[in-house]
Amino acid sequence: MWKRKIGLKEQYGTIGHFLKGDEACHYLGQRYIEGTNFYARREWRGVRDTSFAFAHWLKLWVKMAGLVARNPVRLARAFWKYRWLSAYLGTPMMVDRWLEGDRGMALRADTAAVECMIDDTVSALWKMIRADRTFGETKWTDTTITFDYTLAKHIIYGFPGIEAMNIPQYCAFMMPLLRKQLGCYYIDQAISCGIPGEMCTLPLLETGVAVEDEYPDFGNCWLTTNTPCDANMMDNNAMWRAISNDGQKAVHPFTTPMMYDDPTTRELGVHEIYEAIHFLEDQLGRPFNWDTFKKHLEHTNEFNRGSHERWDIYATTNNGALNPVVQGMWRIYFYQQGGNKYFLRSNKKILRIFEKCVRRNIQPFTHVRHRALAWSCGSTYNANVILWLYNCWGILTVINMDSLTGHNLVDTSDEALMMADLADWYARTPMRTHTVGGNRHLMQMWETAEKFNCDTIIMYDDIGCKGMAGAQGLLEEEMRRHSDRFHIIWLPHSLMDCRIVPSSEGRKAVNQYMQNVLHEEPVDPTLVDFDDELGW
Amino acid sequence: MRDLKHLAYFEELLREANNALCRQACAEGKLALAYNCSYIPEPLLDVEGCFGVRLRAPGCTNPDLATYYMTNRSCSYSRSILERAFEGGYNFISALIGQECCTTMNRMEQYFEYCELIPNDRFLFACIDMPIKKGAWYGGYFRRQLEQKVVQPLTERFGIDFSEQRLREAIERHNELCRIITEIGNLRKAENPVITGYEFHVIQLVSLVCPKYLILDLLRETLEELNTREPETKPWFRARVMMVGSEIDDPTLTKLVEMCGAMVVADRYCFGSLPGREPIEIQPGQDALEAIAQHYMLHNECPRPMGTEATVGRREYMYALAQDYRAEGIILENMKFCEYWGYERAIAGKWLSEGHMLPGAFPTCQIETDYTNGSSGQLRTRFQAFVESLEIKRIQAAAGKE
Repeated sequence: MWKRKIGLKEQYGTIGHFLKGDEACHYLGQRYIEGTNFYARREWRGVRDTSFAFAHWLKLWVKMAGLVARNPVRLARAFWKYRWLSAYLGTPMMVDRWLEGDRGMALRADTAAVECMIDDTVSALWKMIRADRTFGETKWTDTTITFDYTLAKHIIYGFPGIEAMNIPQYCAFMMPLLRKQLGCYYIDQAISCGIPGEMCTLPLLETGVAVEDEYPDFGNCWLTTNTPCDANMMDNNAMWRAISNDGQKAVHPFTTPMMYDDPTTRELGVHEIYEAIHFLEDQLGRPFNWDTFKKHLEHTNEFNRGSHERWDIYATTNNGALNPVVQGMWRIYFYQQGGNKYFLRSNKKILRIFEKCVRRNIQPFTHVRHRALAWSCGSTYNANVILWLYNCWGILTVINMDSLTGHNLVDTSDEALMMADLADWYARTPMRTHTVGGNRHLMQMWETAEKFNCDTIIMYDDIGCKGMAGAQGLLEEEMRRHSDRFHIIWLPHSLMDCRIVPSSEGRKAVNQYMQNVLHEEPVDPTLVDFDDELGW
Repeated sequence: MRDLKHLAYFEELLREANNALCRQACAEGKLALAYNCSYIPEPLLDVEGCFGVRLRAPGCTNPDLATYYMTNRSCSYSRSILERAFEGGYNFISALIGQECCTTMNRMEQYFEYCELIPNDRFLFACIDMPIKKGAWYGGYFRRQLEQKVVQPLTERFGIDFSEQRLREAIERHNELCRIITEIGNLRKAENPVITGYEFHVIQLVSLVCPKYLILDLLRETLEELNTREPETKPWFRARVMMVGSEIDDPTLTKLVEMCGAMVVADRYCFGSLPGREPIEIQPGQDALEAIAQHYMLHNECPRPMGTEATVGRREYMYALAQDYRAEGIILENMKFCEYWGYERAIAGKWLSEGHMLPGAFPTCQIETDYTNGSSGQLRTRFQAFVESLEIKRIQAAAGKE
C-alpha cells in the first residue's frame, strides 16, 4: 500500500497543470480509502473535465431516481424481493472506476458509451419489473419474454411490441461488475445444491439466482441457448425449474453449431433461427414482421460499421478514445442488444470523437508504453484491471477477445444471405467465438495482435474455464514460439468469484512481470500495490 | 457361483487398449478406428475392413504430460486418454473420430493432431458437430455430418467401402451383439441374478473395445453359460442399485460398490449399456446410414440436450430404468471437472430424491470420482453408508406395513 503522501505541488507542479488536470502522474492510488477501492474524494481532472465528469455523475443519479419514480411502490417491492437489485445502487461507483484517469476526449467518449449502457439498463430493469408477475400482472406481463443471457435479441424485432429480456444478464452477470462480493452469495447457493464448486462461476451465479427464486417472472415462454459453453448449456438445465415455472412456460432451446465456421454446419444455424421464429409465432400468436426485423439488422449493421472504423483507428493510430474497460463492455453489451436507439446514438457520438481525434491527431491516452491485446475470457469483478494496466504500467489494451464478436455485417438484400449471416452472428457470442470450433480460433490471437499493432498480450486465466484449461499446453507452446515478438502476461482470475482469485492476485502477476522481466518503473507508483479486498 | 469361463480373458482384454483381439484384427489388415463418445455410431466404424475401438486408458494414474497440456482442472478421463496417447498406447489406430460435444474431450482429441501423437502418416482425425436437440431434422443433420466428416474422408483416405450392403451387414452384426448384451443385461432383473454387476460391466466393456467380429462368439458362449449358470442359494447382496454417470470405464468401481454389499443392476453411464445396446431398426424407405444417424440421435441420453422434453425425459428414463431393474437406490456419479455430469448429477439427485415430476422418489448417493479409483477408501465408506441406509429404509418400510 502506498503510504507516502503526495502534495499538490509535487503532483501538479504548476497551477496550469492543476487547472487542466494534465499532470504527469495522477497518483490515483492515494485517493483510495485503505482496504478498498473507494475514493476518499472524487478525482480531480482539471476544471473542465472535473465539471464534465461531475455533471455526468449527477445525471446518472437522476436517471436512477427516474427509474424509481416510475413506480416507487413496485420498485420498493422489487428491492425487497431481489437481493441482486441492490447491486445497482453501486452504479455510480462502478462508473467512477471505469472512468478512472480519463481526461479530455477519452472522458467524453467513455461517458457517451457508459451513458448508453446506463440508459439501456435503466430501460431494461424497468421493463422487467413492470412486467413481473411477482408484483402483480400488468398489460406488459404477457408481452415481455425471457431470453437466455448470451442470446442476442435480434429476432424479437420481428415482433413489434414484444420485449425480450436477457434476464441472467441483469440479475446475475452484472452483479460482480457493480459490487464484486455480491456474486459470491449466489455462487454459494448453487454449490449448496450439489453442483461442483470448480465449475465456471458464471453459470454457478446464474444458477444461484434461480435457486433463490430471484428471477423475475414474466411472459409465457423462455428461449435458452447453448452458447457460450458447456457449463452455460448445463445451467439452463439447472435453471429449468425456476425459469419455466416447472414447465408451465414453454421452453425453446435456440442452439447454434459448435463448429460454427465449418461450412457443413451452416444449415443448422439457419434452421435454428427459423425454428425460433416459428416458436415465437406460435407462442405470441402473431406473424413475424420481416420489415421491422430487417430494419433492426440494418441498424445493427450501422453500429458495426462504426465499430470497424473505430478498430481501424485503434489498429493504425494512437487516436482511439475509448478506454479499454469501457470499449470492451460497450461491445459486449451491444452483442445482446443489437442496434437499438441507445447504441445508435452513442455510436454516432463516439465516432465523431474518434474522427476528431484523428483529424487533429489528439492522443487521448498519453501514458502509453505498450499496446496490448487481451485474450480469453475476462473477469467481471476485476473488469477494470485492464484500465489499471494502463494507469499503473502504461499498457493500453487496444482490443480484447470478446469485443471481436458479433461484428459481421448482415446482408439484408436477400433472405437466404441474411439468415446465413445472422446464424453466424448468433454463433459468435462473447466468450465463444475464439474458444470453440477448433484450436485455430484461439490461435487467432497472433494475427489479431499483429493487426492491432500490439507488443503485449494479456492472457486471462479464468481458473474455472474448462475450455481454456484444456488448451493450456497449446497456449504455452505457441507462446514460446511467439515470445520474441510479444510480451505475454498471464492474468489469473475467477470470472465471478472474487474469493477464489482476489483482484490483487491479478495485479501481482502483472507487477512481477513488469518489474522482474521488463524492469520497468510504474507510470503511477501509487497503484502498484494496494489492498481493495473490502472494496467493490 | 462358478466363475465365467471367459471372464479372466475378458479382464485381460481390458488391461490395454491395444489388446490381443485388436492386435489380431490389425494383423489381419483391418483398420482400427478410435472414438471416445457414445454419440459416435459403432456400426459405422465396424464395416468390412475396419473395426471401432472405444478408447480407454486402464491403469493410468499419473497423467503428467497430459496435465501439462490440459491442467489439473480438466477431467481425468480426457487427461488419461491423452497421457496414454503420449505413451504410445494408441499407436495402432488409423483414425480418431471425435466430436465437439464436450469441450474438454474435444481439446484432448485435437492434441492427437497438434502433437502428432500417432506415428502414422495416414492418420486421420475427423470431428463431428453434434446437434444438441433431438428430432427428425436433427437426425438428418447428423447423417449429413457423418457423411461429410466420417464416410467421405475414410473412403478417400483408406478406401473403406461404406456401401448400403456393407452398412447393413455392420448393423446386423451390431444388432446381434446388442441382442446378446441386452439378454445378458436382462438377467440382472432377476431377484437372485446369475450375474454380478461387475461381470456385466466387464462384458459390456469388451464389447466396446474389441473388434466385434472377434468378440461375438465369446459373448454368445458367455450368454449360453449364463443361461445355465446356477445362482447363489440366496442373493449375495444386501441392496440393488443403479449406477448413473459419466465415463465409467473402470470395472473396479462397480466391484467396489459390490464389495460394499450392493449389486449394480443397471448401468446408465457413458460406457454403459443403458442406453447403447438397443438394436438399430431400419424403417421402410430408410437407408442404413439414415437409420444409424436417427438411432444414435434419439437413443442417446447425454445430459447436453436442453429444453423441457429433454430435461424431464432424462429423469423419467432414469426412473423407469430403476423401476425396471428393481433398483432400490441410485448412485449418481460425475467425473471430477466434468461440466455436463457435474450439473446433471446434482439436478438428477434433487429430482429423483424428491420424486419431482416423477411417479415416485428414489434414494440417491452422489459421488465425484477420478478416472482410476477402484481402491478409494472414501468411496468405500460412502457406498457402505448408502447400502446401510437402503437396508434401514427396507426395514422401516416393512415395519410400516406391519
